[in-house]
Amino acid sequence: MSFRSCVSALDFSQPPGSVDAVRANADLDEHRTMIADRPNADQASACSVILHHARLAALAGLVFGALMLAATQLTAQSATSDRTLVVLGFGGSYGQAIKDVVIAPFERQTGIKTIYNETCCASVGSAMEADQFLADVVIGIDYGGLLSWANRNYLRSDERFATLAKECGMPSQFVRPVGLVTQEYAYVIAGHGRDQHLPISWAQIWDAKTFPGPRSLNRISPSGQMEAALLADGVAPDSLYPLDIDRAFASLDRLRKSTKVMFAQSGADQVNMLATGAVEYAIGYSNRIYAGIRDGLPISYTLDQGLHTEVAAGLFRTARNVDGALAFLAYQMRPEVLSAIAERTGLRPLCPQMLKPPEAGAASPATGGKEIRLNFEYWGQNRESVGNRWVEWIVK
Amino acid sequence: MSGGAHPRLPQSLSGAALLAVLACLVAAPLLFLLKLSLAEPHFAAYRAVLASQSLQTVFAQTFKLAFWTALTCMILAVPTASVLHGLPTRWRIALLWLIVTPSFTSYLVRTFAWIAVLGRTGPIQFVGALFGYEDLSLQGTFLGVVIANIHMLLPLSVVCVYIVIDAALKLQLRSAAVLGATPSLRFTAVYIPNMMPGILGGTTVVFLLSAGAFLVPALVGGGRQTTVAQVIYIFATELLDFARSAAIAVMLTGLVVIPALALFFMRSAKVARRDGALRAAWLVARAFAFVADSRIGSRMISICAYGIFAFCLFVIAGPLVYLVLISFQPLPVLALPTGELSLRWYKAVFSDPTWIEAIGVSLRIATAVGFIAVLVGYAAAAVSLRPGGARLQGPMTAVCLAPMAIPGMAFAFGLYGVFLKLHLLGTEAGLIIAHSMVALSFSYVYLRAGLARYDPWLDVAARVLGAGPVRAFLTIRLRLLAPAIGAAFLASFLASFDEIIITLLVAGADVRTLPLRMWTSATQDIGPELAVPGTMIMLLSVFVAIASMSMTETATDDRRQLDRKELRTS
Repeated sequence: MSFRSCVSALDFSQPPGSVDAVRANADLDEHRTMIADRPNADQASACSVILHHARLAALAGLVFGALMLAATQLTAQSATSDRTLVVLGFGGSYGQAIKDVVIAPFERQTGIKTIYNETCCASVGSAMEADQFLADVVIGIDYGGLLSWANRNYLRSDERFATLAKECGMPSQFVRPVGLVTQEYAYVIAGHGRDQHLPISWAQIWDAKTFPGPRSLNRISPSGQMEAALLADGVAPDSLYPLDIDRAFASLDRLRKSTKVMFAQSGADQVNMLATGAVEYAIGYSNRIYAGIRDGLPISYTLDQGLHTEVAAGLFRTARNVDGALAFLAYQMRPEVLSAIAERTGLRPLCPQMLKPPEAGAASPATGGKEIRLNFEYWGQNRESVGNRWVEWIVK
Repeated sequence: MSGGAHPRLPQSLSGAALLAVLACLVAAPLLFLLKLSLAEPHFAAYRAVLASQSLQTVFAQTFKLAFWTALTCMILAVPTASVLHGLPTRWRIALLWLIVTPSFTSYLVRTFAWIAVLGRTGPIQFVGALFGYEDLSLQGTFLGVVIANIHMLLPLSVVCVYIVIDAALKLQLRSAAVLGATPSLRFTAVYIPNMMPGILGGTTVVFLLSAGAFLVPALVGGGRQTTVAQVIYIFATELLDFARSAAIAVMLTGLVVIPALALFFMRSAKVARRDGALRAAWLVARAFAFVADSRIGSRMISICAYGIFAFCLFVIAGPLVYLVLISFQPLPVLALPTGELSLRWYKAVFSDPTWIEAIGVSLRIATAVGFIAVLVGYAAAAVSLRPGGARLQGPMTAVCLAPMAIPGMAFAFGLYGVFLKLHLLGTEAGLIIAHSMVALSFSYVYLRAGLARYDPWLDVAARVLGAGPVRAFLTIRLRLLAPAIGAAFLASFLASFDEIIITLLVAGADVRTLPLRMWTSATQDIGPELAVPGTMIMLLSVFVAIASMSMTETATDDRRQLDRKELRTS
């Protein structure tokens, strides 16, 4: 086509990208019909310019993408060498304490590069089902949860666990075949306000007339809360297990009918709701409440009818650095380290000679006549079936 | 240049190849979900889902949330967009930026702000207490979740409506006025029908996004407001019931995507619908003309419109201001500081290397995603706009927009399964690919709009006037498309920089992005700490907004001068 016809095809009075979009679009449509109507060189030249650039762009994209992939693959591989130890655990104030008092000094003393992954435990199931490496060792997890992982063959056992437990003089009931029990905490009655006149039994927590105000339960797991519901319904502490799940949910239904019930997404959520007064009472984690009080928050708790349970560490089946993980656990079980963790997090060591630090003692559930302990065997076997019902009950 | 008898064959081949690759990338996660959900014999997973009354409640609640969010957003967006349009240019641009800027701020940070705003110590409760209401805390209520969700999606709906208002519509309105149409008639018979594409498109997008809502109900819902996306996440990560999780994901995708597809194909019946809308509008106009066209009535209506506009600005920007104040709270609690202010959390964040590292990782990934999404999006847009390539246009648009339409959590779970097979899980490369797919939706939309307005004859003109292919590309095409390319890059960059749902499932222990770090902070450490990076990001986006605002202003000034010069020379 001639130069003149080409120029005349362009509407110079209407620069593209100007405000008159409709006009521009109409112009373009016109051009397109023109193009479509003329099966000759005009079409070829116009299309091929577009196409040429589209192809160039696609090619450049592919090359760039490939380069990027190669680069990231290389950096990703160098990030986790064999010597690196990956520890999985929770974040928040607990994670910070672990990083400060365990991981940093451990790295300094042993030279083992340690990565702390604080996203426990969303990706555990998927990684293990796929036989993938996620982390070498998990710490600070509820013992019932650890057992249900063991039942799914996510974990590997190691005889050195028992040695570590015995070295610190742990009572034999806590030396278990799977994992390493490290500390304990309790599900306790917690309240908003510093000098709160707290209920002293779960039955009173369930009594919204005498103790009015919203309550919070913990969304993440039914353990502890089933027991509390049954105790509130009048079941004697000795005859809790095996749990009467139907009765427990009926009891929870009653609570939900009598007052507003919130569900804390995490320990931090629980503490925040208590501290801001979004809820008046909660089934609290003793360690988180303790840490909150230590930070000056207006919350309180009582150990009456506290439901004690253990936290533990475990080795993943796909662990790469088992010796490093064991060295890490041995370091964590040292008396001074456990005491430092207890002071920061309120998690109470189970080794008798370490119950000394007064603050940790104050944080820990008082041992005595009223202690009720969660049955880990029950929860190891029933965690998933009760968990399913728990999720369904929450969303009901 | 080309000649030959069959110039179209290799061209359509390259377009078809691109389409096929993209389609495979989008389809693979869905196929994985389907396979996983059928892992147990006799549709056991589906039957378990259908038998559960609680899950039915969750589905109903999710769609209730999506419905109310989409409806309210549109009711608020139409007057807001029209008020915006009536403002003088300078104000219009400034206020439009004020509405859009929060979208550049992290989604997670904004959600987090709502935990504080709706909470017991928040401003709503405070105002309620002044009027004697003891418990106005909206935390954990349906209303609270809807409000927070509206905050998230309102900017999008305003923009969707705003962009269809253009010079032609203004001209039509003026003509209508000249021909004697009353204000109410102009609004209902000209304004609304012309905005129908924007309203429908905006409502659809908002509905799709809220049907897949995860973050807002998870963080603001107080555990009481559960959506389907949350249930997928809980089953996949906590109860480890993968088949059931996949079945729920497939059902959610089907329930969301089928209506969207129906809408997509219904667009051919656009003319008929416009006629219907016109007739309905005419009736409405007749009914309300008496009120609206009286002097008091019209004034009241414009006051209402301005009121809605102010309310929208408040809902969009208010929580962010509140979050800045919270960052000075001395105690680890999400509440306004009552006594002294403290820089405790600023010190904590700046002394924590994980924050800095996370920002580095996110910047790196987002930059790569920006480049990839722009290049692929450009190619896809060029293919779909090719003259004579009409057959590829529909499928290409569907494929490019699918990652946005498929509920995020379902797509994330599917991608997770695919990456597992390809050993891409927990690698930066995997995350870049995943993010690029989401970002492609944005870059495709921007680049397609840009290319549709671009006149391909300009290339021809440049070549005829003696420019080589490279020079013609750089000086004409690239320069004129620069705004579209810039917008596409920015949108893709932000889509990746802010992505959390896919990242939660696909990034392993090694790739720690900023949203992932924030997620940890928001879920495991609910305190003012997250308000600090939130404040930083907000300052940054305000800075970017002001910078780009002044840049567009100078650009329009330049353009105006250029136009004038051209006029003079011609």
